[in-house]
Amino acid sequence: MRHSLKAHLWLIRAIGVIVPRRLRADWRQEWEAELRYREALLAEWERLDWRNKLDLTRRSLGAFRDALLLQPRRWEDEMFQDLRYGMRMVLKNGSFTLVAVFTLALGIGANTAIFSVVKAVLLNPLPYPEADRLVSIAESDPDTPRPETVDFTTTSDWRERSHSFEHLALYRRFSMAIVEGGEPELLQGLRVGSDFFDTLGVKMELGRTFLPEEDQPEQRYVLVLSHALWLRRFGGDPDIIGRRVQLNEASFSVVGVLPRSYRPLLTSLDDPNPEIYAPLGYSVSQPSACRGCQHLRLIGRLKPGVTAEQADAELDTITQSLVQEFPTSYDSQAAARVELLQEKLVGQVSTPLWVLLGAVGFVLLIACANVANLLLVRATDREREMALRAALGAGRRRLVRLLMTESLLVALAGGAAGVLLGAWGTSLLTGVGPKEIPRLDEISVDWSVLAFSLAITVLTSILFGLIPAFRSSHVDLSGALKSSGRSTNSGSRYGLRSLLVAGELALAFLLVVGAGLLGKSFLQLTKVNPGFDPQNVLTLGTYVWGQRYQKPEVELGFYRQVMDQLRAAPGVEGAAMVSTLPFAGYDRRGFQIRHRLLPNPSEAPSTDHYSVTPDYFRVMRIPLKRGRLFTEADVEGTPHVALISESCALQLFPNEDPIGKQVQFGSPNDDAPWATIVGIVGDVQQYSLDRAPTIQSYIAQAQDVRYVYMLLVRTEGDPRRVEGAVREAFSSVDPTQPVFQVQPLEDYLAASLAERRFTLALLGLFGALGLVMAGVGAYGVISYVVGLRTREVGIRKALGAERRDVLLMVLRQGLALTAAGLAVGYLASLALTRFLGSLLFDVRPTDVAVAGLVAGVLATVAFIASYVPARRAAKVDPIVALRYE
Amino acid sequence: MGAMTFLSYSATVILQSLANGYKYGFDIMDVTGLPSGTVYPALRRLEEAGLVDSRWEKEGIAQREQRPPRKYYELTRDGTDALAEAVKRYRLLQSAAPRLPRKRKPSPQRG
Repeated sequence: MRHSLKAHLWLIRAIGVIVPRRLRADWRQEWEAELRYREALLAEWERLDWRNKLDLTRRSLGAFRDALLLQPRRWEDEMFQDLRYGMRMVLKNGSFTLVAVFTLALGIGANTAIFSVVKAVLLNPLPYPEADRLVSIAESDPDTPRPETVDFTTTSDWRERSHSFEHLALYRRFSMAIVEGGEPELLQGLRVGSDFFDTLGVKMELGRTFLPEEDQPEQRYVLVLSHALWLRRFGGDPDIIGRRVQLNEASFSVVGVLPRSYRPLLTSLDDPNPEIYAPLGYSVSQPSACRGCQHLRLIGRLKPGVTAEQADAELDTITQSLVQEFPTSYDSQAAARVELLQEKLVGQVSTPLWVLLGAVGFVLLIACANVANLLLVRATDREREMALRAALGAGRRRLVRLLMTESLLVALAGGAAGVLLGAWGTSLLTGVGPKEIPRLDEISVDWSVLAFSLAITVLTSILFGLIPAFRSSHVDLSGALKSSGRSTNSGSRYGLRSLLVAGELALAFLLVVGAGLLGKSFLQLTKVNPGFDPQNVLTLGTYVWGQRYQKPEVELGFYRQVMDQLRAAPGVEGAAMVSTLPFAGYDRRGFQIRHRLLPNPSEAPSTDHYSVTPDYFRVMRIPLKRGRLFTEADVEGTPHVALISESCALQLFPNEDPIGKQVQFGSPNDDAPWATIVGIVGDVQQYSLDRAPTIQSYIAQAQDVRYVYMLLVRTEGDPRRVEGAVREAFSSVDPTQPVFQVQPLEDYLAASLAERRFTLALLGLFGALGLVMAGVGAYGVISYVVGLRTREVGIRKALGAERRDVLLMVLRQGLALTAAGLAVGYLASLALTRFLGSLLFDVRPTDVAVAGLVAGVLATVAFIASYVPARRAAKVDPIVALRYE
Repeated sequence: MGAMTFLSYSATVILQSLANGYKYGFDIMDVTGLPSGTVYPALRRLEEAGLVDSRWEKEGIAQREQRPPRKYYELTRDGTDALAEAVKRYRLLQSAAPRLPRKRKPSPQRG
């Protein structure tokens, strides 16, 4: 008995799911009541046999058809009513919709584009498994503000004594010349510890990674290729594993090929893309493995549960005990710096990107304010309609929901257009973005970006729709229905609209001030003297390899021949060589002063060190301050000489004359010969224009040829024109020696500013956009206000007011608006521009000149926005105005 | 509005049973022999057309018998008029085609 009852009711409940919500409760009760009544009756008369039970079930099945036929009533649900109404309104007011959608598309599009960059560069984890456990580790001491390197022996000690790491892998750059299979080419790569790829979690596409036994000095002639190199130079040969490749004069065996999806580790912005990998092959007995021979980089994978801070503390402790054990090998304050790898890679660009995201947020707010203003305008026209609905029984919440649906539809249309615009913007950014922005190739519009766009679309609909909806729903029934349209609410609406526009002007002020501060910083930077003349200089990298060039005199001979040829070429004013080009890497070495030997030679200061040909300074136009430059007479066999920079002289020889003092370069193990300082030259910017120059030292190439050199050629005209002559000079002396990275010296400087220029360009664009939108908003409000006061204008003119007086009256309106916006904007800028801090150079965040200039620009825009309606008002015919209602 | 459109045979039969005093949906099913999938949709259409009214039973009665209140239907004035019209029309049809079978099924009676 119980079952059958449950069966019917269960059926009704199940079928009831498809009944429109509004009708569901009543419908269920109707059916259930009938079924239960009949059920009870049959039970009372003891006629509840299986036939009657079946009959009940049969009847309840009929509910399905009933429910089906109720479906069309669903369209009468309020939600659908609202949607239909919203669509009608949106389509009816075509011009409003177009303007609103366009405005919103700009705002949402800009946000989509910038967010896709922020997501890919800053938020996405690095493209390695469990990338949040990857760290970069460096040895730090007070002399090195930005530690990047470690030495082999210290790392071995760390490896032995530390418990924080699953893997530790050393690596350094190396290059090899390849001749077979195509043009002679210099291949850039990394020499890595055998667990390098395991640390990153990368699996080879072909073959295997290195074995620990291959990571020894004699066994390190195996190779892993990048996917691109495998395709380019070896035609994607499937039998590449085991093949022997000749690099320089050594024969390497290929053991692995990386997958196409592998993203190389570029921890320094000027690291070239590595294409070959070979084992590091160091051992503690080698001289280059010494404590203090810091030229290697180290990455590690933390054990699960260990944080970077914990590892840092542990390594600091270990390092301190190493300092105790080997006091002359370390600076007394040596420590370790453990940093998350992602932070190291993208830390530089995180501030500019967040600033840009904030900026487009402001642009969107301005767009929302404009659309809200448009809605408020229309609100006046719709007062009667809202009043009628209210009179017919629509509650306030119902009216608000109605209007919000309309706003949502407009926002969705704007959002769709915005996403398209944003996708286009994203591809544009990745196209023109400077390669100095890390992970540029990982930027795309993926589902998370789309979700973000949807979220801000909904948010914007609330932002611009809610207040007008509330305003409209607050209906003065008697007033609205009686009068012909203009009600007492218009006054307060004007107040709200003015407030919105003042807010827009404030935001626009902020944006343009930000752009202005960045612009001024940029200008200041371009005025910084780099210490040399970068114009009209062509640079290129040389790489000398081969058995015969092992002898320094042969190598020098090669260089001399090339430079003699170049000097004779037309259009060439001079040629020189240097081991490290400004703005292209660095080479820091210890600097020991003879009569001031330190008890701990590891505490000796470090200088940026250069090996140069004698006319380097002439070609680069670096001034000689005192003493003499290197000459052709300073060769091997004659007393070693050195030059130091002005800052070096001031800092290290404050109370004495450096000329004549003897100095030794490098670590004590190098046992370099003592050189006599013969001159002081001007400072050079090695790292970037916004840092003070470091202390620098020079030696003559002829007295120490152990470097890789860059060639410099000063030309009369465009440096690129001598590229042919330069390549010719090299190949005529020895065609097997490659040259690489041929570019004007100016390009290096420009590259150092590339990221700033990019940020400035974008911020300027957003500032301009915000300014235009705010100007349009201001124009809208002032026109509206002028319209409101047409009668008043007519009366004044009838009473004898001049055109000029009317003009002034309107302009005063605009002035009030602008002043309010500027005041708020200025106060906000005082509070917010400090976030630009690290991006500014030689400019205070509260720079008055910039603020003043921007205020002027804003005032001009607001003036133009006021002037047009002012002229219209001035031309008003008093008679027409008086009749105007 | 209902007066203008022709009522279907089932609608007429339902209205007739309402006129004869059968108020509840399941009772109308019994009397007319129509299935529930026909009766209820028809009742709703008739209600929309303004020919019948629906009401809920008094709470008190239902509470006493420990069951939910049932819905019952009544003819409106328009409904009565429409029924009269329809009956006239069907009588005419009948007389015009005397050999058309009268649609009457034996159905389980109460009691």
